[in-house]
Amino acid sequence: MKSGLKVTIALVVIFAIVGLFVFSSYNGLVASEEAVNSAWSQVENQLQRRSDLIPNLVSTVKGYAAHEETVLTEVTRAREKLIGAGSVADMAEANQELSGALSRLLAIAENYPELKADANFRQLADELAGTENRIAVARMDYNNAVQSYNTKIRRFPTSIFASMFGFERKEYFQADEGARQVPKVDFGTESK
Amino acid sequence: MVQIFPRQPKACKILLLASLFFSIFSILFTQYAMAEPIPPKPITNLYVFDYADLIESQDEQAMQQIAKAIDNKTKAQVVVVTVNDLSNMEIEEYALNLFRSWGIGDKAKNNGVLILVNKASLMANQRGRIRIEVGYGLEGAITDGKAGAILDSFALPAFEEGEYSKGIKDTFMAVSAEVAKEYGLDLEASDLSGLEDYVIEDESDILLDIIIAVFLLVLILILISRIGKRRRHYWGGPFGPFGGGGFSGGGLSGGSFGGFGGGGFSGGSFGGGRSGGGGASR
Repeated sequence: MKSGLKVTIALVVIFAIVGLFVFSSYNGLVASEEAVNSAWSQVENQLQRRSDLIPNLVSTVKGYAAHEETVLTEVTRAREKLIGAGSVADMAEANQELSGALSRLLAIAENYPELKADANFRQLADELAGTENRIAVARMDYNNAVQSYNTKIRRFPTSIFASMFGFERKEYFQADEGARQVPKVDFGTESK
Repeated sequence: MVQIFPRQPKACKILLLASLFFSIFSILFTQYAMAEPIPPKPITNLYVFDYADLIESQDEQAMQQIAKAIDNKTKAQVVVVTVNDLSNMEIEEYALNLFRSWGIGDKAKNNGVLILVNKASLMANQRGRIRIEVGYGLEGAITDGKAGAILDSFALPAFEEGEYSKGIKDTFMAVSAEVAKEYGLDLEASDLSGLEDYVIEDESDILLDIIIAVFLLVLILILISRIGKRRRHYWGGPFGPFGGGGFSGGGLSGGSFGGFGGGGFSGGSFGGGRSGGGGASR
């Protein structure tokens, strides 16, 4: 009898330990996933903000540089593509295109001194550059959150029950390595 | 209980010690080899960190005093850092890393602002001279457009003249004025003296001023014409020496600040705030 009781107690203790472990891991995964979601909403926020700034920029540039049709259309088209993008990977690619088109548009200012001097344009350019930077930062924060989360759900022994509870791997917000460097505009002296 | 490690022969012990020593050494070595390109977080927040030696001492003291006053009143931290170069980073990346590593601004309010100046770009007259990095909490008060305008108005013209210290100080004052405005601080307080010169009027303020001025002018003209009809009477009255009233002026005695570092200025600490990449660079 005594050994039977011992075994029962041992089993109960084992189950308790396992249960406690699962319980804390689960909560850790939940917190991790929420961090990813909140980081993602920040990314979307900034993408939206940039999207809102663009029509104004396009019309300001048109006022001074109407025959720069190609670049203006590129920007508008890239913007629409981003709005229509579905998955994270699509968004990352569309974002890359839009950033490139925008920097080409801003670089036009170098050829049109009146445009460069226009206060409205400068403000818009600053806002856009600021938003681009914010997107880059939000992306970085998001990818860090994803990395932390993905690592957690892949680690043993958490991996055993992670998918059971519905925790799936998340996608990184990643662009092509090659197209990373976006040329920037210098609003400093005229002597460039 | 079975003893897991039987008594080890000497050779094994030496090997164990050696590998332990080696791993410690290699950890220390790699830490040294990958030395932080960003200046390490200072223990006290002195608000102005002139690593590149660009700022003159009276400008530095003026900035510190105002930064500390604002920090005490609102927990908003405006920090100026000058560096010699950016360790091959873009100024945006550098500024963000520094901002987050030092934790500028209150942790809950994220109301920090970093003004970063890069000597290398300044001397070469290239992009990346100066950046205003704004914490999440102040992005409404100091928008990207406003930050850019401040740099265009205060930093670049002075830099072009080679007046680096003045440019930095004026930029700082303009930024601080915005922060003070955001928190509704009284700019006539003695510890904030000098800031009122840097407040950029919003267009709506100017319009209001114009309307009030016109209204008063019309009022005066009406009154004068009425009085003039009765008798000649010099009308001084309340519109005498203008501005004689409320401005007790910047009555700050500079004597309270001895040489820097000689116990004159005691800093605070960094609040732990974060930035999201907002701001502008030139």
